[in-house]
Amino acid sequence: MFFNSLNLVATRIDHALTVPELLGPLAVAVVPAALLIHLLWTVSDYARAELTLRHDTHDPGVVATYVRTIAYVLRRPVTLVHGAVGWILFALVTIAYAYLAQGHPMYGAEGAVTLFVARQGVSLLRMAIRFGILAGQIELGRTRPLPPRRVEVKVDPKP
Amino acid sequence: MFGTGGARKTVTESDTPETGTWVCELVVQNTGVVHVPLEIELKFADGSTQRLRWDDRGTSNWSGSPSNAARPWSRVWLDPEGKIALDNPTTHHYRLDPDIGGRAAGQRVGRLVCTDPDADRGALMPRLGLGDLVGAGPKAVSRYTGTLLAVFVAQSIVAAICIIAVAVVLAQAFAHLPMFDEAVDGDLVALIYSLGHGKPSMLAAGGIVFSAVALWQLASWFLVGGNRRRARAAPRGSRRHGAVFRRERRSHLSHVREARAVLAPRLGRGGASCSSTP
Repeated sequence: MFFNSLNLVATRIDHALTVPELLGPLAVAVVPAALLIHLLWTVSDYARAELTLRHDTHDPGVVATYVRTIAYVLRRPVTLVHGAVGWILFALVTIAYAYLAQGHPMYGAEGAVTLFVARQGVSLLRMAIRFGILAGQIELGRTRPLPPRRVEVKVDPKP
Repeated sequence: MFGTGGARKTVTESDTPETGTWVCELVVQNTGVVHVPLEIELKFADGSTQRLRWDDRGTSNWSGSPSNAARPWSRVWLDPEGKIALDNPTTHHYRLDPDIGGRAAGQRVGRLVCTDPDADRGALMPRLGLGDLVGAGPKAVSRYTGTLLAVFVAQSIVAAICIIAVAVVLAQAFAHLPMFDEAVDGDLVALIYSLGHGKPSMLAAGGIVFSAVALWQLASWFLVGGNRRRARAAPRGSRRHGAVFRRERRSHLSHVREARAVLAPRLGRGGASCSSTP
């Protein structure tokens, strides 16, 4: 989808003379693919949450769970908005790091250690955001309709 | 099949032929401290009713099978005229058909508190909004800070090993070439020359990074799964963390049992358990 979208704006990109003229069509080309991958990621997240929540009691099938989750996510736009909030926070942290690191060259062993610490701090923030989004998905996943029960029932053998 | 051990016996259809009647049993319990006579109204499927009276002296529960009838019960109403104003009368009126009752109640209550139409029989489910979902994040992070830091430390170790390995590989090829320094500084031409000169080293560095990402991706399936299970179990305190990964058998019915246990003391003027078998 990304390459198809890119082909639609390829002419504008080829004839771009300034950075805004280049980034504008590129951003437009990215939007459909980004929305699709966001949908698929959200479906995957909620399906994994459902499999974890209902594994012991219902043992739902993986494929069936993913199919049901697609319908669930499409019926509940709040799932997509919630995931988008996480990605926006993720992007804000990244942009803030890039802004602060701009113009601060880090040479030598000391610079490498500083860079490592700074990057790991950014990584910790991103991980906390992801963890928080995951917690919200679990909260919503608890309220989902229960899947068909596939857990085997033990029956006493006949004497 | 009834009974256990040697007393077990099997009752077949021929042993209990269809008589066309229904055997209904009602148990009424006063869980409060005030004992007064109670009127009980039974409503049958055909719309007819029958009044019973329990003179509660605080000695035992009232249990009985008041009548054999060619019609099943549909409702049981304790104190139908509201003579005993000791507690909430909504707990005194029961439907015996859970399917019809659940749906009807769901439709009515849904106007007030939004039942979930997707849930089982339109059950009353909390309607979580965006604020609830976002708000769950800081709570989880503050509650499971140790888990988050443990995962972070594991990720940091993988990243550090990867960085050191890449640095060693690149040092083999570029330690004596100042042009690589210019490339790192942002000189595009120097970068292109360096990439062409140290292609094997670049491929090796790429392989290391790819392996680290693949390893982390594999590990994350277990880590994220553990986090989900942790969030699902919602234990408080580190002593219970180990129990999170044990098998849990909390089903939907267990929540119903818990709800009944919570509601039982509130019934005050008795709870009724009813069964109706053809």
